[in-house]
Amino acid sequence: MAYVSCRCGSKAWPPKKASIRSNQNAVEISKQIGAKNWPGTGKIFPQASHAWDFMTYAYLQLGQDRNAKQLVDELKVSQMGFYPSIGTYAGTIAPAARYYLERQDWKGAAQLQPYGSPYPAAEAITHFARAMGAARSGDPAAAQADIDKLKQLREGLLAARQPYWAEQVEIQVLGAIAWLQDGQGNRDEALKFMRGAADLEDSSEKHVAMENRLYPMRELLGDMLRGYGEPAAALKEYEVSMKNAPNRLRGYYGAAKAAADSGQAKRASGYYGQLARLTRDADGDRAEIVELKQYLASAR
Amino acid sequence: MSDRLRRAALALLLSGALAALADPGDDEGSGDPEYARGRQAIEAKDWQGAVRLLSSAALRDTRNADIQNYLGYAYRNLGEMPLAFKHYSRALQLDPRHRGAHEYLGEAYLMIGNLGKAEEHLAALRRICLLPCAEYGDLEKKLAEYRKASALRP
Repeated sequence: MAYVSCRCGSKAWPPKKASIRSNQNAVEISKQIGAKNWPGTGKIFPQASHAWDFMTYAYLQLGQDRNAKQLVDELKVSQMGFYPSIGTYAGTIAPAARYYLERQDWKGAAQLQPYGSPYPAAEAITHFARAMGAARSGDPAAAQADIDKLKQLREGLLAARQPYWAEQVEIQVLGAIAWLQDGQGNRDEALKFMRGAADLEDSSEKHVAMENRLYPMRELLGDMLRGYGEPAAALKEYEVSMKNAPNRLRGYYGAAKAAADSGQAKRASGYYGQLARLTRDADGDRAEIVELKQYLASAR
Repeated sequence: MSDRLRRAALALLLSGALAALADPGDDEGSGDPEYARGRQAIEAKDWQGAVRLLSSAALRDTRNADIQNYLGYAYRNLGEMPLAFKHYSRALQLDPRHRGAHEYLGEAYLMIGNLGKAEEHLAALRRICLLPCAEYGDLEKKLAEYRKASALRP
């Protein structure tokens, strides 16, 4: 019996599909292990949450939002087996946050509820998503409340001598402050904090418990620069981000838009082409895919 | 596969997977007993003991910026400034954003009267600490004290 959950396929083509297949197998085996070891309890081998998270991420990148949502809903009612760990909780909490963040559904993100796990770094995932959601949907007070909570979690991790996880939460604090500042019209502060988050994330190693980071901060920096009318600078950030987080729907979309807006039609066409290949089986109604279709129609 | 073999395979599988997901806990410590004892020696101000234990730990964990920073601190307290600078610099080479190393190196430069270099490390901390950090406040205070003392000197 081989148990492999992975974020595989992210550099290979077709991206994400291999990841989904492998992780579907991992979840199936997790259910079998659960049924064998804890018969009648409905419990699942805890690492399944990791595989679930990878699958949700992959579906979201393919634009298959219905499949992603189904996984998020299924995970809510699933019970992980013994030995909960930060990895189990992070894998359980992250898919819902990803679902709203990747879809830029800010109101949905703002309404996520904390899971109540004993792991501050896992709890931070929801508070980051809530802060981003509130900041980007015009509710600065709510964003500030979640930023304060994130700061509190970071302080707790520092006091517990867990500098790695404290730093991971710090990255989220900086990112959330950046978008709060953006919402308040403080462009320079917003860019300072967003760049700080991106630099800190790039300088920090990944941990196996959160191997699939929640959202690339450098891509968010690209989004922010694009929003400020600096497409050429944004394109640079998107392209750097792609090295660490390749084959992302929002990454290709952002790069295509930034290239087009900075007069680089050939590069824009290349990124739109990659976005089209990535999302050819998309089932959702995302604005990025609608725009892609319009671009392809006008390019004919 | 026999039942026994299957169970053994499952146990192996579970232990591997769970180890991979285990909490890092005190991830400063790396689980090295000499590193842990070296830190205790630092707290007890046993600088010679700290150097002995941390030097040994550094041979096993050659890329640990914390160990290098502590070694710098121990040598600084022994008055062996060239060795202190060497280890602080190594800490920053391994982790250019190491707050502790910037603070201590800034303090070490003040000890040899190089205000300009100390200010460079304060500036580095200002860039790194977008969220307020104790290291920035501590070095800033030391710099203010240094300037005050310099102004009082005849």
